[in-house]
Amino acid sequence: MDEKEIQSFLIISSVVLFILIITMISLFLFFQKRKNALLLKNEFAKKHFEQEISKAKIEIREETFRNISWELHDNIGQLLTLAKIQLQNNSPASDIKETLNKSLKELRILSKLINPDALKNMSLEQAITDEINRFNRLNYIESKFTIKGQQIKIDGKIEIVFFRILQEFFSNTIKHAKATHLDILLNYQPDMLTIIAKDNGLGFDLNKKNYSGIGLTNIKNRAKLVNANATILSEPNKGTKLTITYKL
Amino acid sequence: MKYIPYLINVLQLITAVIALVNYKKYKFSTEKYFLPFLWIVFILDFSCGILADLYSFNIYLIYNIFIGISFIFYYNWYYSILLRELHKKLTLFFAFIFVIVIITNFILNKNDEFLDYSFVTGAIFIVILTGFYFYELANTDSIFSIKYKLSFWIALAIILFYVGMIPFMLLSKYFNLAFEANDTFIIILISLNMILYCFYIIGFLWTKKKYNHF
Repeated sequence: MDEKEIQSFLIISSVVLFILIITMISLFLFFQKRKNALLLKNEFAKKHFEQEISKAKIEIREETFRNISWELHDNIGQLLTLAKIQLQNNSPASDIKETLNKSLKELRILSKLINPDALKNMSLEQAITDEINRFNRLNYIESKFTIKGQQIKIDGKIEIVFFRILQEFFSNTIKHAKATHLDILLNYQPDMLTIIAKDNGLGFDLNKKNYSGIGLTNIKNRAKLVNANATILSEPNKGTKLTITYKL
Repeated sequence: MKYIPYLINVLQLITAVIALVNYKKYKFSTEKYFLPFLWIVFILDFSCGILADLYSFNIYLIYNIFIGISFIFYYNWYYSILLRELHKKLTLFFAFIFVIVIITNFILNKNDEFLDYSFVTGAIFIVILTGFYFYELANTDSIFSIKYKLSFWIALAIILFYVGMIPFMLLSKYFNLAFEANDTFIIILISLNMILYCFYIIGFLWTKKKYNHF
């Protein structure tokens, strides 16, 4: 090997070595950086999730307060007013007693419903049943709740989100839809939970922009948050149907 | 010095045996094709070396054909593991360009030398594709378990080998050296092969079955 060959050997080997080292270092830095960025992103997503759950909880509570206020005014208030009128009109004591008994019964139901401990440990089915019973009791709307399949316990946080979505749907139905019937179905399949809520109200045109404001995007975003899928179908005068699918 | 090149064959054999022993861990993934590939590489390289040593056999034709096939094998592997549509399309495009280059190279060449331009072209494409793969890998949750992913180690082995081979080939061409005839330069070649097969071996030993699903 002459001097020229030695020289070129040294050049080639140092260039190859240099490039190898550079490649290794940059790959290491690249993966390290991406890993940290992804960790941060996951952390952020987790925080966002927790925030959304808290928000949903607060909204459920607010809605509950609103419902109590309605119930006190429309139901128990009315019954007590009736008792007062009956007293003024000297109605038979048995009639007055019956009215007062009825109002006491309603009061007990209400007090049981808003007990914080009961609210905290409630399952999705129980929460929906209570809501439906309230609608039927107050004659807001005729409601029916069906559960199909073998019930499977899902995460409490996810239940909160689903319940809040349904509550938002119910509140839309009562406020805007002028519906007479409301059907809710919880369908447990081995690998999928499907929740369907359907009213027979006014419905709306999904293509019209001014309907996007009434919580539809909110419902979809909330569902996405727990990896569920929410679709809303509606046609003017044919009612609205909400379908939530969730992979178990 | 004469037997130094056989060191590479020893490495190839060890890697192929380790790949065979650990086959269970990756038999459901696209990496399963590396098992026959590694054995073919070993058998072909070893027999070509012996033939050349004993009978001064012209091995360039076989070598060049094999280089073409192995590049296509790598491109095909990248095509199956890359997820983004753009990256897949570029893989097809690179493979197409490479085929054109190597065919032209074959036509112009008298089959008595190494097809270095085709090799460098193919190697540059391999480096780019590995970059795509790492980019995709770094943007998924797999980044938290890359050390258990066989595809990561194979891609790492490939990129380090070719990133070293490209300047080696270009510079030896530039200095007008017949590296294959010079024992000293074989050392660089052996070092690069050591890196290649060592990372393969780490991958086969370290990988876990549940991380090799596709």
